[in-house]
Amino acid sequence: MDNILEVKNLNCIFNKGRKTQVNALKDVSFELKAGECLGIIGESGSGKSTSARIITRLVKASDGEVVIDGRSSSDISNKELYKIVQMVFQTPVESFNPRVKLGDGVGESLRNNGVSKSETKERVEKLLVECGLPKEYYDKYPHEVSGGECQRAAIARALANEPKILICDEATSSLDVTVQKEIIALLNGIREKRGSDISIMFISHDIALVQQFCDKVVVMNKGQVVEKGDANEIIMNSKEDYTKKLIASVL
Amino acid sequence: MKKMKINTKKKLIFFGTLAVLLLVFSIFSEYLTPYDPYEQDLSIAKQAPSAEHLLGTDRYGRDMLSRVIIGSQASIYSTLILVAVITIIGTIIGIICGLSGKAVDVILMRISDIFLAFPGLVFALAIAGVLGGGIHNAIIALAAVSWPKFARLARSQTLAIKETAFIEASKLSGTGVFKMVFKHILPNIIGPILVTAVLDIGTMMMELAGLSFLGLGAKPPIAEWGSMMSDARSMLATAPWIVMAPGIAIFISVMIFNLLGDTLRDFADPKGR
Amino acid sequence: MKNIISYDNVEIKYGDNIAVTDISFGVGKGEILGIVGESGSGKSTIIKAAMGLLGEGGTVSGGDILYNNRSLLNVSKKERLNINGPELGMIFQFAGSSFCPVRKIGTQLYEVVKAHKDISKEEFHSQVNELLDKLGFEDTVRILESYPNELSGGMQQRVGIVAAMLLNPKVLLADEPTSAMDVTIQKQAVEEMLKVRDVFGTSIILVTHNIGVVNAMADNLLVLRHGHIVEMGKTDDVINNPSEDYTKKLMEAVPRIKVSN
Repeated sequence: MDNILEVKNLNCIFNKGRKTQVNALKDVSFELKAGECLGIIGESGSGKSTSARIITRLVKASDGEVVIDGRSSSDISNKELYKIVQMVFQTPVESFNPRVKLGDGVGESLRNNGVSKSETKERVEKLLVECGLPKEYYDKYPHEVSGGECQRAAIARALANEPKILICDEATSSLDVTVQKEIIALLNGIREKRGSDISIMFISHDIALVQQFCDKVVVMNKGQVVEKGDANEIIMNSKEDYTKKLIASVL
Repeated sequence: MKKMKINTKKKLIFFGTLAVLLLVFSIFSEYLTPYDPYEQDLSIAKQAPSAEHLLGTDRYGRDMLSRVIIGSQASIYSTLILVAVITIIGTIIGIICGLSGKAVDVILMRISDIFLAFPGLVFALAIAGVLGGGIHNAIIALAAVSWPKFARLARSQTLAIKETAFIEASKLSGTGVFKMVFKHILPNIIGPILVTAVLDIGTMMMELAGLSFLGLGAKPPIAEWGSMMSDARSMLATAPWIVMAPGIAIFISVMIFNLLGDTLRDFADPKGR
Repeated sequence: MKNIISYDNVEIKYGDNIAVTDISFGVGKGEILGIVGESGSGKSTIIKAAMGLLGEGGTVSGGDILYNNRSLLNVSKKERLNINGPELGMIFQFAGSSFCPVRKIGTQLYEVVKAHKDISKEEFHSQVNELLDKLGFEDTVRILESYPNELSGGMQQRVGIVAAMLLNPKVLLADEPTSAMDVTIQKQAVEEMLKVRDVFGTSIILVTHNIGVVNAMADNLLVLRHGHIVEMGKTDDVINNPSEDYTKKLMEAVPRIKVSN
């Protein structure tokens, strides 16, 4: 199996040279194989989200390389990158413009890539249905639907351009557990249907959830990778003290 | 709580209607004047208010009521143009600053600091003085010193919204800068900017009238409330109505727009509802 | 066992909307009751009612809340001061934001105590040091001399627990006390609250969506859904042998760590 995503020696420093300097990432490296699901766990400030935001270019790395599908990310234009990598955010409702219909939000990338209005509508409705929403939700506004439904729409939006990499940044953390279970089932369905065409990077502080859902796991602490490998292996027989402490803290 | 909301809504409708009436009134002011506001007749100069001339006549025997009515055009329209100009320019600069960050932001904001550091009217006076009088130059002068307020507001609103998840999600959908501004940023920040603009109408009307009063705005014989007052100030003791009439007109218009602005702010603020 | 606080058929409305209805339970001395439910189930509303913190439009429209056989409804503002704090303590989800950012923690804690009883600074210091000691805090001087933002979020939350315990209330009401925390700090906070119960015999009503936390802390568990009690019983029984379908569904949805194959 090939690596669809390789992160090599990423460093990220915020407020460089100032008193408030934070080394958010220190030599972070990990890789995601095609068709795999990689969990990233760690406490707040561990650098999980920063890694994701560097991959999606919402934050600039100070140093290091991201390789996507065998090509250095620096050689890929924004337009192309966002057809390959997509992200689902922690806050479902806030990730949609309150003044724009859900359907238009989901179809935004299609419209930006020159798909006609009528075809976009058709494809968006299909995506909504695939993500477990009735197609009438096209015309709803974000505040009219529940958080779980909004997150389904956000997943539909992320899938619109058939990305190869889907990053879920604490995508279920703000949801109730029963809703979380439904979203995980939806993601499992998406993985089953697309096989090695989709790889997921699943960022979460919920270790039990990561163990259930992911094949591999990366444990991060204070901007560094503590440990990485097979999810069950690491969570059941960790060799690192930090990981052991983290797992022992789960109630 | 619910009751309060209804009251705000009623107030909004009330003051909104008054403001619209004022605008309609000034549009049709030409047809509403009882006499020709520019016709001089020295034989009836400086007459006190009477049944024939409700607000009296000025020193050239022109009917004051007609002049106040026609004066609404210059006063209200120049104010609205002025407010529109500073709102648009300020918002554009503010959004540019908020989005670009770094050098562009620093430079533009320091420029706005310079304008904010001077007393506005004094600076406007200087600019209008250099440009020479006239209503157009007065508008330019006031616009030059008044945009920073809107730039600051638009900038802070843009900075706040720039970090939200939906802007980031839209970036990931490959949305370009222009579409981002017009579809995602502007609709979500325009509320407070419009409220500020409406609240500013009163202030700007006063400042415009002030410039005219000092002889740097509308030039006689054009009927404009500020210059009319300036024109008549030497007669304050002998013929007070000539000063009072445009003064009261300014007072009423400023009042209407200020109250409308206040109500609009209460209405836009969800906590106040 | 005699109940120190009890709810008797309580119904709470916001405006004309019923938020919770038919709520009856009791908590004895030193007991911990967990109230779990998903968002919108009305779990926070229940404890806010006891504190008189329902806010505008919120009213207890039926039943009664009794503290030591005394109704907590229709309490005058003046009596409230003698109840909230000395009798009922409260811990909020974001304790950090309930501290004033520009004054030192020690000063603010002193004010809390001072508002309720006449006490000198020296007495206060010995009292607070003793309390911090009992709860296992290290470098107590640093904490008291810090401004809120100089402490980590988890530490702020722990100080929030101290603030609530300063007046030695008989009942502690905790609204999602650990929800904003990382797991390692959450564990500390849970241990702290358990210590509070063991040392002072405080009864705790714990509202949370986190099943792991109630499992670690609560003696009894109440499952709430859409403002109704679905199930109530010993924590172990409810979590491991739920009798209602909804509870089963809820417990199944909670991901649990597998420690071995």
